[in-house]
Amino acid sequence: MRKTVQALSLLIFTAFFLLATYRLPDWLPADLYLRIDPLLGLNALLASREMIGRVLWSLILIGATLAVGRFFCAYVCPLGAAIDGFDFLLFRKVRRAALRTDSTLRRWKYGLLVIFFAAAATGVSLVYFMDPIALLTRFYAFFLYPLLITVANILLDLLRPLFQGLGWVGLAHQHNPQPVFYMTAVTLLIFGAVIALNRLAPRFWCRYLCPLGALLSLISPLGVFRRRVSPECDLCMVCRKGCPMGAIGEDPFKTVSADCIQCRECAGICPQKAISYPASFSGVGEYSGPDLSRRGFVYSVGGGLTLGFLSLRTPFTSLQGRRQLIRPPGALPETAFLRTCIRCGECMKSCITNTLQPSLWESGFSGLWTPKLELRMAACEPNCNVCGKVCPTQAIRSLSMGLAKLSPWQDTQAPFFNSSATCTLGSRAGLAATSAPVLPCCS
Amino acid sequence: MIGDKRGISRRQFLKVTAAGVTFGLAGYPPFLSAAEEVDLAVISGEPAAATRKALEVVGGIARFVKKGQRVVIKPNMSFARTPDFAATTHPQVVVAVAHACIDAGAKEVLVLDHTLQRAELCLDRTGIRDACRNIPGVHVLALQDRKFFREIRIPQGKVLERVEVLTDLLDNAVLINVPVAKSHSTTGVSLGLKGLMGLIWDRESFHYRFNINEGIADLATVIKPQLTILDATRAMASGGPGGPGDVKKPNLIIAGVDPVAVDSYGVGIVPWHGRNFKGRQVEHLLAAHQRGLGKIDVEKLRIYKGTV
Repeated sequence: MRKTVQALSLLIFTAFFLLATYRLPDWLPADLYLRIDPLLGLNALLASREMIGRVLWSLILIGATLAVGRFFCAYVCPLGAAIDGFDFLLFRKVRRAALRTDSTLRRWKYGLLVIFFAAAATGVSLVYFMDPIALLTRFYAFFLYPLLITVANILLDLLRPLFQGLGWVGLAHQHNPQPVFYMTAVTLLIFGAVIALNRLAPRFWCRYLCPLGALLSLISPLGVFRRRVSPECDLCMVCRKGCPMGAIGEDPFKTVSADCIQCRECAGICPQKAISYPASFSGVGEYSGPDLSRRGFVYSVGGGLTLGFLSLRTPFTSLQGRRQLIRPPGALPETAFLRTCIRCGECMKSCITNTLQPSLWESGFSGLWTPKLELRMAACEPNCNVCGKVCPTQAIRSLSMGLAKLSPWQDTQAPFFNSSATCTLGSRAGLAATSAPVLPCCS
Repeated sequence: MIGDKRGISRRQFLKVTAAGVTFGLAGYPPFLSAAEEVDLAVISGEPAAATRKALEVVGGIARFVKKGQRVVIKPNMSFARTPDFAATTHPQVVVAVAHACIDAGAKEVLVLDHTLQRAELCLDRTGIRDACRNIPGVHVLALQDRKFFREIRIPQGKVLERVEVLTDLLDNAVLINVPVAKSHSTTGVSLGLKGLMGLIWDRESFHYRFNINEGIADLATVIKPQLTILDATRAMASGGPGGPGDVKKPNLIIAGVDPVAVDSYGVGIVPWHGRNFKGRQVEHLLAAHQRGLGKIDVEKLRIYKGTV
């Protein structure tokens, strides 16, 4: 049952990802998974110090976790599903002994969570690097999606003689423009590392590193479903070995409730059928919080603040407003944009002209993976603005197209609209010249 | 059957043939041949109706499209612009021509262009794909990959020795060019001959490797549309080829077999970039004319003017 739900969730995630094209209807949130991710939302709120409407979607997941527990990791998380899938394919037969450093590693995710929030407090968005949904969306956008198009085109080429023979004119002429991105290899390496870590322990990522899991585990012990072991237990310890999260300690009657993702793997493998997950409303009584020590907490805060300092006190920051990096149409002013953007890559995937590309160092350390208009690829399509529709944190605002209005932000790095209300930025390979006065476009 | 006397004799055959030819020549109704005598049909009116009338005046579509033939219609849909920008051919003009071809018994009608902007956007925004959706046998395709092109030689080429053209154009397809009338930043105007650049793979090199005007004339020696129907229902008099620009409304459809003549007439219909020009002042038209590809002097053309 769980695997079906997981697969379904991954499928929905994939379908929504593929739907993020310029044809996306206004009512459909293609970035749904990113929107319901409270980690991305809270970080964007904290870093930008602005209210962001779409972040309210994350209340869905917060509410569900408060009520049910940390089920998200086992049933919904698409990265969790990918990790489980690859685990089954690659490491099913590998004997993995319990890590001796388990209890130390287990604290890492809380340390990372604190680091990200401390950095966000200084106005630097770092969480994108390890948020599972952003990480997977990036992997989809910069690696899987281009690969999918390549494979599709190869198949079309192979079948073309057949289509021609059958007189299927449309298919015989079908060819999909190949999207290409900077940083494809880096993105693949990071995803590969997340999968490879499973060699050491099942769900290594989820157990030790995932900051979203850490955030959810702060509230998940309040959920109603708890693991209960009946006295029939004969201490065989099968459950302890089988728990993918390592949430069962020396005493099999106890559960590390913060790490329990309610996958019920233990209930399935228990020879005595002694494990059940009844609903109980005993509340806060059994709350076992994160095991991050006070020292670890202080170090993490210090680390986050230091990263914030390192990112902000550079010439990049003071030149941000003046740098000639062209952002997507409707992007927030540069400083606010860097704080709000979560680098999921959804805008770059949906960009029909493949103009939006991830940046490396162009806007400093704090600008990794942020979208920029690479006009040497193609001109931005002025009537599209799908990037604004799919931005989960509204770092790119959804523009109402057609009329140019004078922006209150004079430093907006957005395409320019001329007096006839048409974007001329790059309309001829970036060489547009217009005699009309240009207005920054923002509605 | 050798020696069989039941067939007609040579003498009988010659007699009957001579009689037939005489009768035909004498009795050939002049009102029928008049249609073929005009060089240009210049029809004023709504896009679809004017196009149909223009087709009729140049001799009817059956003159160009025979039963079972493949037809390539080449509109300008290079830019993702709605028809009111006048950067692309009016969908109703394309539909009228496509319908006529199908009615004349064409096996298949391909509406093709190698678009400058993203194929998908061009097909969408120009309205041409939607307009042709419900005509069976008509396929609107924007091709942007090299595999759909094949290299041919240009024996009379001055700046081009060979060129890769759309494969669908080869193999005896009937080509009907349906350009839009617009200004062009490099060639002054973009009409029928300039529009031929939408049928080749490497259009960029025209802009920097050699004289684009000679290049277009070279192209015109190998890509010869059987019929050119210039959509001047709107004309972008400045700001071309992509626009936005000054859109005028001449409300004209200009059709003819001679591609240079059609373009040359098109040059005169509106002032381009604020000035009046003649065909001879357009370098690529003059080059094509000098290669013997068509007549350039409008005053020497037989023109049928009409309104619908």
